Formats: sequence, C-alpha cells, structure tokens
Amino acid sequence: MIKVQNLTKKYGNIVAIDNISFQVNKGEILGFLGPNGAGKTTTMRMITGYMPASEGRVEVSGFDIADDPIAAKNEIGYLPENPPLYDDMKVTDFLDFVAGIKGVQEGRAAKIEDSMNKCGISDVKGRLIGNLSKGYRQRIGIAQAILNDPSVLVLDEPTIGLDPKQIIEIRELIKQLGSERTIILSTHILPEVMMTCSKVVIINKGRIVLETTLGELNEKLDGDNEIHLKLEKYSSDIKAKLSALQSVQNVNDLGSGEFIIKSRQRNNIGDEIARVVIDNNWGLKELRPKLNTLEDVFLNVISSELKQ
Amino acid sequence: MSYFVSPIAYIVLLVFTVLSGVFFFIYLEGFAQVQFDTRAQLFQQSFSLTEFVLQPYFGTISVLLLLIIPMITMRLLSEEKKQHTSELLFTSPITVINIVLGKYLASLALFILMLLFSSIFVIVLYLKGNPDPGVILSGFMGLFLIGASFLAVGLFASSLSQNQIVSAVISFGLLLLFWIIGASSDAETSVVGYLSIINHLDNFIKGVVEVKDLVYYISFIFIGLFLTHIVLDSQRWR
Repeated sequence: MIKVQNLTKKYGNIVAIDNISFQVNKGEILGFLGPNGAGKTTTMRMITGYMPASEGRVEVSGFDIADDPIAAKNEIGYLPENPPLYDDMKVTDFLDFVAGIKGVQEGRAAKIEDSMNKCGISDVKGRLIGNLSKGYRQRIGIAQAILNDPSVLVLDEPTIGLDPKQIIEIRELIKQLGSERTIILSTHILPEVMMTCSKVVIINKGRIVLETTLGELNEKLDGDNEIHLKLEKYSSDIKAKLSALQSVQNVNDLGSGEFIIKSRQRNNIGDEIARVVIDNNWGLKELRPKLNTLEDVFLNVISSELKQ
Repeated sequence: MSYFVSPIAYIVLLVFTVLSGVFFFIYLEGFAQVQFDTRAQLFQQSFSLTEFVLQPYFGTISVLLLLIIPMITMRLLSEEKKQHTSELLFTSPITVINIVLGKYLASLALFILMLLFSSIFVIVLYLKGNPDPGVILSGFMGLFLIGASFLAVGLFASSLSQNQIVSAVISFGLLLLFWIIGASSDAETSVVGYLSIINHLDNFIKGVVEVKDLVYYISFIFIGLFLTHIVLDSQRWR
C-alpha cells in the first residue's frame, strides 16, 4: 500500500511537485502518466526515499519513508528510470550483491534463479552487464526490483527498450505480481495502461490533473461518442436535418459527403443516424463510431491545463 | 548483515593494476637499497639492515601510498552517482553507516592485500639477514595505520564529487596538506607537528609503538569516516 499525502517538492523557489495526494492499495496497479518533466520520476524518487520531500509525507506498507526508512525500504522494489547496474559485474554476481543489501539471506540462490527466470535473463547470467544490450539491462533492472519479493513495486518506465515479445512478457509478469502486491508504474505507452493498470493518475507540471479507476475511465471513453458518417448523396440540407435531431449535439460537414456527428448524450446514436439516413435515402456508405482513446483524454487533460 | 562489499570485479581489476605498480616499485626500491648497502659496507665498519634498508623502505612505501591511495579511492563513491547505482543504494534497506563502512572496509581489504604483497620482500630479507623483527612489526603497523588514514581521506573526497579526477585531486591535496603541515616541527614539540600525519609514522618506523600515535591515527580515521557520513546523509536533506 502506498499513501502519498500533500507531497511537495521545491527546488528553491521552483515548485516541482505541488501538493499531490493519492493512494494505491494492495492488489492495485497504478498507471502514472504525464508529459516529460511533469514530475513522475521525482514523485517516484520521493516514494522510494531516494529524494526527500519538501512537505507532505509518504507511507509505504504502513511505514513513513522519512521516519522509518529501513522498514519502508524493506517493502519496496524499485526500478529507476536508469537501471542501477554495475557494468563490471556479472549478472549473477550483481543479483547476489543486491540480495545482500536487501537482506535476502535464506534461499538466496533460489530467489535469484527465480527472478532471472521470470525476467528471461537466465541465458546471460554469466556475462558482464556492461556487454549486454539495452533490453537485457532493462530486464536485469526488473529482476533486481523483484528479488526480495517486495510487497510494493515502483517501476519507472518498465517496458522501455524492450522488443514487442519481451514487452508482452513483462506486462504479463506485472499483472501476475499485481494480484498480490501494490504496484505503481509510469509509462508513456498509453495502451499499456489500459492493458495492465486498474487505476490511472495523470500528472502535469507537478499537479495531479486526473485520477480515476479503469472502470470510470472506460465509461468516460465510451461516453463522448462521435459518429463518422459517409454518404453517397450530398445536399446542403443534410447537415441541417442531422443537426435537428434531438440527440445530436453538432454536425461537422467535412465535404464530399463526410460528416462527423457529435452526440449529446452518453450512448451510441448509430442506430438513430442510420435510420435517418435510410429514411431519407441519402445512400449510406459508411457509419463508424469514432471512439476517444486514452490519448485523447490525455491530450485533453494536459492542454486544458495549458489554457489555464 | 553489517556491511556489504563493493563490486568484486573492479576490486580485482584494481588489485592487479595497482599491485603490479606497487610491487614493481618496491622491488626496485628495495633492490636499490640493497645495492647501496653492499657498497656502503666498504666504507663502514658496521651497518644494520634495519637502518639502511628497512627504515628507508618503510618511508618510501608511505610516499607511494600517498600517491596511489587517492587513485584507489577516487572511484569509491564518485562512480555510484554517475552510474545511477546510488539510486539503488539509497533506496535499499541499508543505513548510510552501512554504505560508508562497506566502502571503507572494501578498500581496506584491498590495501591489506597490497601490504601483504609488499611484505614478501621484507620477509625474504628477514630470512636471509637479521633485521630487527620488532621494527618490522611496528613498521608495518605504522604503514597500516597511515594507509588506513589515507583511505579515510580518500573516501571522504570521493563523496564530494561525481567526477573521479576531482575526487583524486581533493584527496591528494588533503593528504599533502597533512603531510607537510609539520614539516619543520616534531610531533613531540608542537601542536602543528602533532597534526602532521607523517610525523607519527616515524615512531613506528623506529620500532616504538606509542599510544599517542595510535590515538592520532584512529581519531583521524574516525573523523574521515564521520565526515563522509555527514556528506552522504546531507543529501537526504537537499
């Protein structure tokens, strides 16, 4: 469980993180989104105790990271933005070292073996880290994070640098781990959030601009519906007739028989539009709902901040 | 778990490069000393191995340590920040004390290994000739202490900068400062003389183990490590 309360970070007069609060419970996977420079990494560094907060507090599994750092850090597995690897160590030596500093005593070899298998790095276990590709380095970073079987995982861009197959594997791994643990991960890959996370927080310029569960998010995405309409015939009164419909908010005439119709309410008005088109014999060529993606929500939320 | 050891790989690499340099110098130096001795024999009625070989040798080693130790220690903490591994160290359930001690003891282990290698020559000398064994023991004790002090300074310097060269320069500067501070005075007679790190070695080389010298070195080490701890800890409050 991660509890962030009124967390603030100031560098002199510059406020990098402005009074943010959120919570992630056991069994939840939080997707932490935001444009570059929004404060995702800074927040994660404060959660893991690498950086001190200017104000506010962070509680991890019931331990305050500032008052009880050792107890809190025992519960955390952290993958920073740049995987913390010693280039001149072999993979197994490095993981052994990490096991040591994380206090993994019994069954160390087994745990190391297990982490390597889970991350798919067993085949390079005897090699020097400095010689490995980015994908392997990234996965070693994940392996060290899960090594001590922590109850809380903080992952900063976990799938970056991985090829599509590896990405799927790591996402699966995260989902598996998430069922028993608390996970917060940051990413730029929006579909990834939809696939793995149960909660979403979007941060911009140090402030939280959106906090929602996946369920609420899906509703929101399904809601603002647009219908993309293509007709054979074209006449100037079609737009007027469509706009006149009760459930239509506005009609955008793109020319050459193409229209984008925005619906007033939350449900799909495709049926209604189709009926009108057929009744009027306008020649239906294409009727397609234009669904909002998370990208649209993201950009919307970010740009509304810019306007303020 | 009281401490952790720095990356083994780089220690091993360092051992070989550093030792070969030290050993080479020692061998040459020692050999030159012995050459000098045989010629001196013609001019003197009696001479002692102890005076003509061991003691200058110990003195020379301490100078070598002054030069080499900053190079060993410069990596200790500077690299961590650069390689982002400090992010791992400071988010793991280990205290800053663990980190400081761990780094220090690792470098100490390397240093002891260096001393052992350099002692081979002395042991051979002991077997072949008859230098004063007391001097041998106290001499190495003194070298150990002065080296350990150098390491503490080096570690502190390393905590101050991300850049290895800067760390090396700072530690070298500090060590020189403590070396020449009492150049004209004696540890016995003045405060300034007491502060000089090299003056205390003299007694050990002579075969005398005095409490005040021990106290000096131990305090020195302690202060060096303490300062390192403060520097690292202060990063928590930035």
